[in-house]
Amino acid sequence: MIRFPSPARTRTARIFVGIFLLLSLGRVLAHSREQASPPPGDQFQVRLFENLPADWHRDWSFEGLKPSLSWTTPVLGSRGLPARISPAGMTMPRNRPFALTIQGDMHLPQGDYEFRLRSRMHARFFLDGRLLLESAPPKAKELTPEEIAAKEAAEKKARDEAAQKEAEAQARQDLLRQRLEDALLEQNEETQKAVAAELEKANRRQKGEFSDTRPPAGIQDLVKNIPLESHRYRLRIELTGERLDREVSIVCRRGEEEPRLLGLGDRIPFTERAWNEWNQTESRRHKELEDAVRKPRLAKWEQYWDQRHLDQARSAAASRNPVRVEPAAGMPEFNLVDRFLGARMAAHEVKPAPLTNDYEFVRRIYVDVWGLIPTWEQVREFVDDSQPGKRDLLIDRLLADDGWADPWVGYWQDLLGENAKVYGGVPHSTGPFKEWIHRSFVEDRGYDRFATELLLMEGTAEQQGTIGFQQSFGSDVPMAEKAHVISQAFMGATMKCARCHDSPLNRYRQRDLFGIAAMLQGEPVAIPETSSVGEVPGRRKPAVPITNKPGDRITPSFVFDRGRDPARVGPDARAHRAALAEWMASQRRFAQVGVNRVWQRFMGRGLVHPIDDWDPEPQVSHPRLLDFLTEEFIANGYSVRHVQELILKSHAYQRRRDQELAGLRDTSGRHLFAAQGVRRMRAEEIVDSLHLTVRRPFKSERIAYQKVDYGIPERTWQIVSLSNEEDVAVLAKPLLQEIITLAKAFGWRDQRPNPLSVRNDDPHALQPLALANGDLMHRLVKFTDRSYYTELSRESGTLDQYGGRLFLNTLSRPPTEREEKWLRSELGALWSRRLVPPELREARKEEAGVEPVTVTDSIAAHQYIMRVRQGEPATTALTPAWRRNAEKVLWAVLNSPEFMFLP
Amino acid sequence: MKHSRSRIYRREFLGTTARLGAGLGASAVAGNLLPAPAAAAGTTGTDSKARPRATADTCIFVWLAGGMCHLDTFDPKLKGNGQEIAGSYYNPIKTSVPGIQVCEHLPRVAERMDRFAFVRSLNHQFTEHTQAVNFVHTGRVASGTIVYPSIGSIVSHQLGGFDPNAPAYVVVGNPMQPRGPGFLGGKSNFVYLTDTEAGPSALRLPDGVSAQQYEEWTRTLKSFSEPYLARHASTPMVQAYASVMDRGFEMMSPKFQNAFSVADEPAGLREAYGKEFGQRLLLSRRLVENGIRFVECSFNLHFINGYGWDAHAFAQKRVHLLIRQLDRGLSALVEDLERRRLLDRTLVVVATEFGRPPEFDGQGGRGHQSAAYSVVLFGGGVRGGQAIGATDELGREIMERPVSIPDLHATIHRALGIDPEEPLMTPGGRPVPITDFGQPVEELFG
Repeated sequence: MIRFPSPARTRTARIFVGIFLLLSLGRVLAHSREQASPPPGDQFQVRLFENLPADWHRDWSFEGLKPSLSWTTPVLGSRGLPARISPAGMTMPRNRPFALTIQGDMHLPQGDYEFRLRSRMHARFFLDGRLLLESAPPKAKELTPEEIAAKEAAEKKARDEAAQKEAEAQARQDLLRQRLEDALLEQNEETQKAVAAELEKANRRQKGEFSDTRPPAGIQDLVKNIPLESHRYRLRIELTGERLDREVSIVCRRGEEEPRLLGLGDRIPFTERAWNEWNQTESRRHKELEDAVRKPRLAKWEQYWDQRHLDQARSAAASRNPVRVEPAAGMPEFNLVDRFLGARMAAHEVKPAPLTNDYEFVRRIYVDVWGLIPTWEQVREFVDDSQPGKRDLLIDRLLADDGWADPWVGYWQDLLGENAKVYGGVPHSTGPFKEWIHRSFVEDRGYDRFATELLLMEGTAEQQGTIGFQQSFGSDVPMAEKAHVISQAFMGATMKCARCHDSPLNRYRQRDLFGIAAMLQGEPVAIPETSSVGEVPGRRKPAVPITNKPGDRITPSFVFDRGRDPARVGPDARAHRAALAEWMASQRRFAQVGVNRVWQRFMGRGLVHPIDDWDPEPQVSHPRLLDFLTEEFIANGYSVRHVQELILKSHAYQRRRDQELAGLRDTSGRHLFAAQGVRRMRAEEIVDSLHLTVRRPFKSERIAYQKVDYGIPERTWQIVSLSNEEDVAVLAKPLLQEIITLAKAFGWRDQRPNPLSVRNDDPHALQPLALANGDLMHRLVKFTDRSYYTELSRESGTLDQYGGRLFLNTLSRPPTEREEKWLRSELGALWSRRLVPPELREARKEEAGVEPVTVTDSIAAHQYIMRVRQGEPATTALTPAWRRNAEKVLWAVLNSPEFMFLP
Repeated sequence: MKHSRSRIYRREFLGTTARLGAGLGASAVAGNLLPAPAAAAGTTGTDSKARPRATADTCIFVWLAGGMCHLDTFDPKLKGNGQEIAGSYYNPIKTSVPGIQVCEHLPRVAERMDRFAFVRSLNHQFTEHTQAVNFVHTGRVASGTIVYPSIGSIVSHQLGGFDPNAPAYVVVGNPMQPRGPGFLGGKSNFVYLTDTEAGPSALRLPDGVSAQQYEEWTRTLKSFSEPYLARHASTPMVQAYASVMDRGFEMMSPKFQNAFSVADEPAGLREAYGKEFGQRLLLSRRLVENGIRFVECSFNLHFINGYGWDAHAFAQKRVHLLIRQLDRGLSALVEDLERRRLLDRTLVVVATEFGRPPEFDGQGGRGHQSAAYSVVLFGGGVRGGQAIGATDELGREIMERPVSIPDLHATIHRALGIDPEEPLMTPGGRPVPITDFGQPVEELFG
């Protein structure tokens, strides 16, 4: 990762009298031409032309056209295009309509030739400049919404059926392989041969030859027979259309020879297998081409941000006032954060809560920074460490690890409404962009870059780029929703009322929200009927202020800085988005809102509270502290990690919790932060920590359906709701559902149509139930052969050692005397009889892994669910009596309120 | 569409003493820390408009996932041929009520028609599954600012369970989002089970642990937690969590666990209900009998014909297998409820996301149609033997008495004594009326 230098902390940086040289984001984003590679000898040259006039295909005039990209291929055909790469290094769609030419010279021996043009697009095939074959453009028919729905439904069914067929074929093969293995074991040669033959046949069926010479639906297959002299010919294909991601190729056959794909180099027979291999080679080549463009662009993009952060840091250093707050007598001070808080408390004669002890601190810091409780080894290591400054060292170590990014992902998924789905469109679902959030924090890219990349909405769904943020399924005005999200997230402005009318609660009018929506869209946005308060005759008149009517076209504007001129930013949506990002990030409030979010996450309450409502003027409890943190933030390249570090290393953060002190305010009603209030673990922290304490990775089905594939989750932020609105059997994923059910009970959202900064923590009866009796808890507390507590039972020398580690590993503290007594009464009598001698252990087959249901069959799904519910068998290494009681003890500890509430 | 006939105007705030108990129970169940508004359900009409008396106190909401075709069930039309001739796929038969016909695969329902009511003029604008499922469950078009609660969550939020040891809302089916509580929050969420033999998720005993042993587990947990709770006696959130924990574990009591054991039902009755769907209905009956306020019972058995009620393509040819299970289950349920004197207090609604058009597609299946389709209601004060609303000769368009989804919701609320106009508060303090201007279908009652 490239980290910009932290100039604020270096002497040299202070010498610069900052001239704030902010490069224009627009200039960096300006389109640049992709490199064309030189044409090699034994390859066909491919040239791509973009942004053609709509009727270009009428005369195919290449005159005056400049290719936007060229590359080479050994085959006279195409299977799609390398993606465009945005200046920020993101994969992007190309600009339609396109044309493509593939041309090269090739020697053809004498003979009677049959040329077949196979194409799904409008294509022409030339031999020595003579037009041999031409396919028609795909039928461009305007479909009615019903027809589209019917077509999509039919396609979906076809996909389902194909998936089912494939799964069944796979299952048949698996069965055969199993039988083959059995036969091998039994050394039954006859069966071996028979099964092997059957397997071979099945293999052929799946991968083998084209069983049918008829072209698949949609492919035009045109034939021309022609005798040729032996000669070096110039071959050329031209194609054009709205999309060029479909196949086109020439199948050539001389005399009675086998047909092959026309190409240079190795002969490619016209078989399904060879065809697929060629496709794979092509897509690899496209990836290489994309990477060749991406690398320098990404480097340039990062260079831009480094420079921008450097300039900002210089400028901040130049204008920065030294901290003029004197340390207050008797107030603890770990760093400057404490000085600001201490001054106020001293003035009000308030004594802050004392420092946490080591056990309390180590639990709190692990959960806050990594979202995981510490293991007993981690607790021991820290508590036994005697060197001074060990808390700072631990904080440094935790923040240096990628794990510091995990809790931020869930936070920003909530706030940005990341609402990805497995199946179909669900109202207000977005594309996935959690991976982008994760990477942004792993690399600590800077909060301003984070916001900018989000607003640019680039990339593809596969790479989980911010293009996912652009979507809002079923919405008639998605950009108004996005405007609402970013205003709340980055400017602390509550604009949800302004969606349908002027806000009765703050200064924002409906046109302010739609002005930002228009910035995101790059053109005026009309207020739809659905985003208005309908007045029904005879009904109560709306009590809310309204100045705009449905149908009003709202032009781009930026309510947070009226001095900006949207008319001058450039022609397209990207220019508008870049301008919006730059305007937003240059606001001091943007940085302050960000700093306040970090403060709130670790201190339980914002310096500005509530954190989403900064209007009309924010009530800041400690304005100079906010200023100090904001300047640190800007001077360090908008590094969230830096601000987080400052907060975590303060005495203020490391104090004991105290409900009473936490509520203390000064005479003006400003919070003193004399202590933190209660904090319950978040859903992600609970689920992840439960897995950690038994030291088992997530056990889940792959989160995938049809083309969507999010893989197997390892952390709670990676899970995606199943959105099984049709009750489809194939989406019965009981293991994943266990995780979802528990996470959801504690506030993880399976639907995120709106931005949310702070989850509702009100307890309700389904929470302890979902925890204590959910399938996940049942599975995790069971002492199986793989459970860590089985190992602990076996490895511990004494019951006291077992109990000590159990407590450190779950509650991050040793048991009290009373608890030791309790452990002895529950487990003492069984300790000496806990182990089953190896010779008496029952042999058991290794448990099969996760078996996803691959058919649309409720019975299979049901059987699978039942199998999952049975779970792994209990270990036979421990006596049932010990295991039962030890499981009960573990269950009781994990379900206790102490596990749930952080020290 | 005015329908002012036969409204029962009574200034009666609470139905029975049972309902009063219901309200009190509500605050004890489902972790409502605030007094549940059930007891006040009838009193909130600030405009002093008298509302009809509640006719039911529980609801079984049967969900036919995928879109049941009204033409092939409760609104039979001219027969088509499964190919180019549009129309019903099956023959119509007479019912015990003159003038009302159903499809030939619903003979038991036909015989008991005097207890069933059909609304043949339900309609909305969504022909895509996810949007339609969401709309029928929430009664509102999904918005980008808040998530609306489902009908089950609203009912349980308003009334709570009527047994303090039972959750208010149970789903027999998959835990899909539109069934969720939306802005009402987790306390109005459902517990669910996907399998009639095992108990619901979160209310099941651990594998191999008996009810007795489990009681010991919870005793252990309580005594272990005591010192911590004593240390945090003045931390309200910790205390609140401890108290919902106590309430939660009450739901694990053997009495309530018993509600889930369908296996305890007599073999003859289980037989009468039929296969898996029937067993789910039977379980639903046990649940409402044991204090659950709202049960959503899903009929989503795709394997029977390949695509369940979403009868595209070849699935259409075997959709009668589903209809027969429906016939058997509904008729067994109506008799069972009647025998147990539960029919009058239990509203049963048989709903689906949309109907299907009279035309057949290339493979003989049907597409989606939401402009006109049917819903079935019975029990809970609904007067049987009537078909409200009508469609044209091929069931494509509504000819009389259109009923919207908000109207259907208002009808359910009306039966349960909930004011459909009462505002619910979002966490941000925005008032959202329970239904979107829904008007109860009053003809159904009385």
